[in-house]
Amino acid sequence: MKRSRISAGLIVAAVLAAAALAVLPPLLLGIGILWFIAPPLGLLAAAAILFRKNSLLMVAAILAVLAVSIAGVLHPMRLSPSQERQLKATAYFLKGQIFALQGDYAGALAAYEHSERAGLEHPWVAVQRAYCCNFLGRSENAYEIFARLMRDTLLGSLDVVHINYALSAMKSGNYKQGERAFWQALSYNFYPGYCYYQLGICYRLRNDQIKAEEMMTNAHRLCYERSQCSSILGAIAESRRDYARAEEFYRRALRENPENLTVYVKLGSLFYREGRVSDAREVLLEGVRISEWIPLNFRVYAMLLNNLGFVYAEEGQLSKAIPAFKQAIRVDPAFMDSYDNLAHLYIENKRFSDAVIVLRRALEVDPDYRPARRVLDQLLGVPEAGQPQ
Amino acid sequence: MKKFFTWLDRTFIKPIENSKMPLGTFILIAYGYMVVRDMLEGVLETPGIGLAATTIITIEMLLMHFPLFYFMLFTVAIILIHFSTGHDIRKITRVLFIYSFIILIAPLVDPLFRPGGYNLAYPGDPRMILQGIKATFGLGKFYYGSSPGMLMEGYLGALLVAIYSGLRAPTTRRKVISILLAPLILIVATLTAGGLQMVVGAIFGGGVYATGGLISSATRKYSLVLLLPLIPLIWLGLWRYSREKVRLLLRSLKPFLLVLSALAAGAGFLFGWLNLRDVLVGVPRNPFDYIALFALLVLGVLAGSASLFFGNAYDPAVDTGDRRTYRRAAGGLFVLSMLLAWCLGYTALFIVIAFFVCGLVLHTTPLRLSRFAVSSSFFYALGMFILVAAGYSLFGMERTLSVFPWQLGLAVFLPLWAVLLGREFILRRARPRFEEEGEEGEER
Repeated sequence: MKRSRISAGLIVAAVLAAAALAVLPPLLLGIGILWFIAPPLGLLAAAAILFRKNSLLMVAAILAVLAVSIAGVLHPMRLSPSQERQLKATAYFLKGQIFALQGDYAGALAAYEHSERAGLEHPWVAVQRAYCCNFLGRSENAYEIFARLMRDTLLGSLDVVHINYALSAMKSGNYKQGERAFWQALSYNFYPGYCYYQLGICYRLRNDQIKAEEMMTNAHRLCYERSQCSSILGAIAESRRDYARAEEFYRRALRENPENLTVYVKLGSLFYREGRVSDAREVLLEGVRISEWIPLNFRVYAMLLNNLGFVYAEEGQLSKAIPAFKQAIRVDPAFMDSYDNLAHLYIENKRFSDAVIVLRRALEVDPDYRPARRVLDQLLGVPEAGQPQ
Repeated sequence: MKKFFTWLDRTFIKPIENSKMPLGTFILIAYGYMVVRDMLEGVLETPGIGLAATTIITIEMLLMHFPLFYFMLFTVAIILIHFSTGHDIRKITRVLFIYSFIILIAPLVDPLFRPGGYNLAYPGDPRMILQGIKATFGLGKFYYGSSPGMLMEGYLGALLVAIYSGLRAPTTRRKVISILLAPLILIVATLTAGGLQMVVGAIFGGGVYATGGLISSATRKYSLVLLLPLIPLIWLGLWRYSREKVRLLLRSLKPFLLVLSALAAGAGFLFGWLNLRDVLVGVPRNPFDYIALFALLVLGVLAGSASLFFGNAYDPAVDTGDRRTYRRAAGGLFVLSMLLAWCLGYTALFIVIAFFVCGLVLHTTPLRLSRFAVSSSFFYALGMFILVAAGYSLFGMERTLSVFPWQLGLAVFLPLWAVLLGREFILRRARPRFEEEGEEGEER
């Protein structure tokens, strides 16, 4: 005799599947159209279970997921007001994070403020807001927020908060607080290389070259931005007129990163100051050659070309100096020194009409650029303001 | 000359070809060379990418981005050498991975040419290769991103591939063709691995990598571009490696369950967008947002397959030899799924780890909850729901579980559980029925 195929387990499973598929999606999601789609799918699933058609059952499940997805697109899901509020607040926070990752800090800041207004009052949102302020140059605001967070919340113990507090203090001109915070960060071992580097910058700004040198040396020892540290150490040595040591540091900076273009500018200037014009030319040429490959920092590229033009002019190589200045203008039209130098070169060589053209172009770029205005007025015979005609 | 090549073969190639070490060990050795190269680049080459200033970027580069580049290069090279010589792909794989240490040449040699080394880049641009060849003969300068060391690697690699192809091709005609093809094989492999990222950049614009979107990190976008084509290439390699095993694996897949897994992940993406679209107006917009959706579907299939293979690997009813195959396949798919989830984001990665925990609880001893219908269906449904959450996490990021509406969770999870419970009952009833029929047949 053939045994019955439908067991109690199958019946229970069929009833459960039918009920769950037919009722739960429309009931929980509040999407009316699902009342017309889900029950037939529930019945299909129940039939598939009872007839032991596994593939049919899976088709029912796939159709159910598709139905919920498509119905969700056509009709918004019903959520409670508190859920809506929470969702909106969190979504604004996420929007802020997306903007911040894209580098749009103004957009991120606005989104974080929206998030707080929508009810997400978490110190971490404040951290993100302050972080954006720091990037937007609103260091005073950033400092206020970070100072409050350091005082009132437990987030102050976080390395990222502590470091940003110190940085915002420095940037907003609260040097003492910033210095203290960086020293404290060092005692906690929060990014020591970075702390020494920032302290070095701070002491340099305050003209304390000895401390600046010590800090930069420490940062260099910890391998934080080695080439940049060497470059700053070179600048410190140069400011003390210790040119041999400065050259040593600059050369080290280039060994550490041959693509640190500002070092070529500095080393070229150093050689020029020492009267080593041909060395200066070689260094600047190397910098220009690398800049051609990495056209990222157009200002430094223009500076290199401008200085090279200057060196050529000093060597009397007019045919090379003029194209160098012209290229510098093409590379970075907002770098005004190139206009000045080219105009003066023309004047020295009595090519006054060319000088006038260059100066007029400079004034097109920056109408308030006084050196160009003064020289142009002199060339055109216009009396300076306040002088009798 | 012939004696020299015979000695070369006997001393350096045959012992490796006949090695008893498993494939995983060869892969780990090659990965070791890759890490060493990255470290050396960090110390000896210009901007120091080996250990980047940001820890998280270092981790992404060391564990994902660079290894994927090299594995893509080697996989393409292995498949092409296999087709050009007709030699056993297993042996080619072993030899290539062992001698892949030539990738260490560039960071060791470059500082000899210029203090501070060079800023190495992917040789994905054909101009870079052309300029390099020209520079060898003093006809030009290096293209930015290339270096003398890279050139040496290239020439040595081509020479080694030519020697190996010449030794292993069966006929003289094939020997000549495969030797002549050796440089081309390396160029194609290099351009595939390096050029894919540039091609995507060229199609969608240079800013596609650095402008955020659902996948925020450029490093993970680069990795995704490499990983997605690598998956079918690995399957092709495995197909040539052992057709029987690949057939066994393909036969054991359950297409409906995999479609459901992929759909679950895709539906999660859709739910995330629906719930947050009025605020997250900037996504999806970046082309990578749509690539991420495709990757999610692939992730659903890979993770679902891995879970099925885990099930077979620990099923006492399965033959011991097959169980080993399933275990290896499950391991490989697990790694690929994790990499794919990582490319999509850290939240997706953690959520997919939870999916695999469900798989382990279901299939491995001591719990092996797949023995019981209710617990088995519960964890299968939970796995599906976790995949929905993984899709949702592309929008919800770290706050996915906070913003995921509970109504949606229940509306997805409970019906799935009920359906999968039904499936369990069907499968459990089906087994005795076959046995019964078998018994009836014997009685007759």
